[in-house]
Amino acid sequence: MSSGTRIFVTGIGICSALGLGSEENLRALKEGRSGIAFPRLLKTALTNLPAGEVKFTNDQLRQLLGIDAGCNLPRTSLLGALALREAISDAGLSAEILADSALISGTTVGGMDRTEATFPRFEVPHDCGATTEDMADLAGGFKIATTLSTACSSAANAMITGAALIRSGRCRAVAAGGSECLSDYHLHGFNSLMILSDEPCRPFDAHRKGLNLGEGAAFLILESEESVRERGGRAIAELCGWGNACDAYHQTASSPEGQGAFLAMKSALEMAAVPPSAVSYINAHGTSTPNNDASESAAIRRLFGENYPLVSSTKPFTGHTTSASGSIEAVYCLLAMQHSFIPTNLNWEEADSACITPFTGKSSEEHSLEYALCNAFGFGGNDTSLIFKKI
Amino acid sequence: MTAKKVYIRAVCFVDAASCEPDYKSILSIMEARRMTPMMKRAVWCTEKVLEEAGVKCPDAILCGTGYGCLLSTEAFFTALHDPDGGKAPSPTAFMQSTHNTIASLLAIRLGCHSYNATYSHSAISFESALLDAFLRIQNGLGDNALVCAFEEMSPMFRVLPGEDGSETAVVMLLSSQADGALCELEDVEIFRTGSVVNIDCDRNDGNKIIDWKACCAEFGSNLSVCARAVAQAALDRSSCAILNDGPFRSNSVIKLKSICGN
Repeated sequence: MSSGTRIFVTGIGICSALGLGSEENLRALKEGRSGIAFPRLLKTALTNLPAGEVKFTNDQLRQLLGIDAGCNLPRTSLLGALALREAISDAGLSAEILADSALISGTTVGGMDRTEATFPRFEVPHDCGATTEDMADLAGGFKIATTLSTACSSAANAMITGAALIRSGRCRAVAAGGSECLSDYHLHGFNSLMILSDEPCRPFDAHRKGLNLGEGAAFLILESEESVRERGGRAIAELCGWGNACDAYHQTASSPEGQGAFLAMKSALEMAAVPPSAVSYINAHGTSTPNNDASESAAIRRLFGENYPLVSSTKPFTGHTTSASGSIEAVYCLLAMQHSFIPTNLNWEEADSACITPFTGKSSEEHSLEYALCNAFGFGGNDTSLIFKKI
Repeated sequence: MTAKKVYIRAVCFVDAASCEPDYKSILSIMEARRMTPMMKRAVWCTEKVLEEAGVKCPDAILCGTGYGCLLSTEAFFTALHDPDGGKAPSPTAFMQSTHNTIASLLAIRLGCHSYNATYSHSAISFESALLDAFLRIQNGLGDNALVCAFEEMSPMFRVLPGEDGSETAVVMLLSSQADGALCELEDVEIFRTGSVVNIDCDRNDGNKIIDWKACCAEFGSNLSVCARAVAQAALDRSSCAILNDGPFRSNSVIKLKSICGN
């Protein structure tokens, strides 16, 4: 395997506020139907804040996974295991290949829901890595597992690590992505930063007030060109470029000129060896906070000019699924490519001169996408961009 | 392209056996007040390592931590569950409780926009960060990488249940340059326990093998103890394998090669 080995996506799996599986997520995206509502499942005092809950209790998730009702795994593990199972089956990976594979997940909340349930006692640790091991245990196989925790870009960074592992020849396939459940802890955390909106979020709109949190999981199966050919697998897309840069500006705010975002997108384009004009769609990080959307817009304008590609944020559909957003939104890019449409930027009404104007057209419009760019930016300025090429 | 060799150029650590450094020499009172002890240790070690190696902005910053910033997590948790509701949860405690806060802090202080990532995977968090850095340098994605490991304890969250825990902060600079290096980092492997992986550290080749028990006995129990063992072995300039065969769902092996006599 060489440092230039091409990396293909051969399977996807997802669960989010839009439903379980690619089919349900695709349908909601095309119908323009949001999954955001006031929280019903999460135990929290902050019931006035809309959120993108996966509409299944832990009992229901355990049933879907066929695991014992007494098995108190973190919700992050349960959501991740469902998405992972779909991705493995979509790619058609054999047990033999799975045993020669790695699972790279991204999470920050990890098993915080279990810690909350037992607080102030602290029993079995439910740290980030434990949730990844849970998923690997439930799926079977996987000789390597590790976990990225770069806040809201964790899942996107998991894909970069996955690609590096494949190129190093250390494993044949990688399931890369992320999982994050809602927790009272981080709902209050984002609330303490005063960046949550009590209305459905509206990225890039002049009157945007903040974000809605969400939860979910998504995994992509990444394989080398050689592996796909050898087993007669089917590639959906190529992961042809990625960039990771640090904004190095502030722990929770993005720089006005979007330096980290700009550098991440720029290095992804350079690796893909395509000009900015080749990109037909950007799935923006677009959280709907005044700061993120202005900073990301500045970065897009710097790199793409005023003739920037069609841009939308799908966070009004799912909420901000934090660590999982990088892989959930990568799956949306791949669905958009496969089905030749662009997910609309829900709730946008009025232009803001500090922001790009997002795509608000209908999903029935046909758009052929050759290259799609997916942004995931995290606290601490951990900015990552991925570029997918249609096969 | 043949893979480049990877060397450990400089190391620095603060742990239970060390005296707490005098942070006044590098931090203003205002800066120090905003930082947890772990943040100060990470900043201190980073400055020492970069100074020793003569590097201003490393080509990558990688952190590993098993449990992350437990003190800030506990502070936020306690305020949230205060029965009187008297304490408003602090945004600073929340912000400083995310695992990537240290890598981010280092990037901000150094004004360093390069590749930046944090791994949190139980006892192979540091090893995952080290592997990422190792592969980057092997493949020419930068000439050096700063790799950092840290663990802290809080009164409520014990570091290793059932054991006496300890704290640690370890920072090292990996480099593609042999000049001035402490030793060669020959290989890093992470693997799930029970998976069939060839742990290629031959017990007969005369190289020392430092296992999990030996690491904990010498440096105290915490999820990043192998980082401390690597730092020590690098300073000792000896060939050895640090084998994390502790009771975890994933294990690791790190191989160091002496360059004395080269």
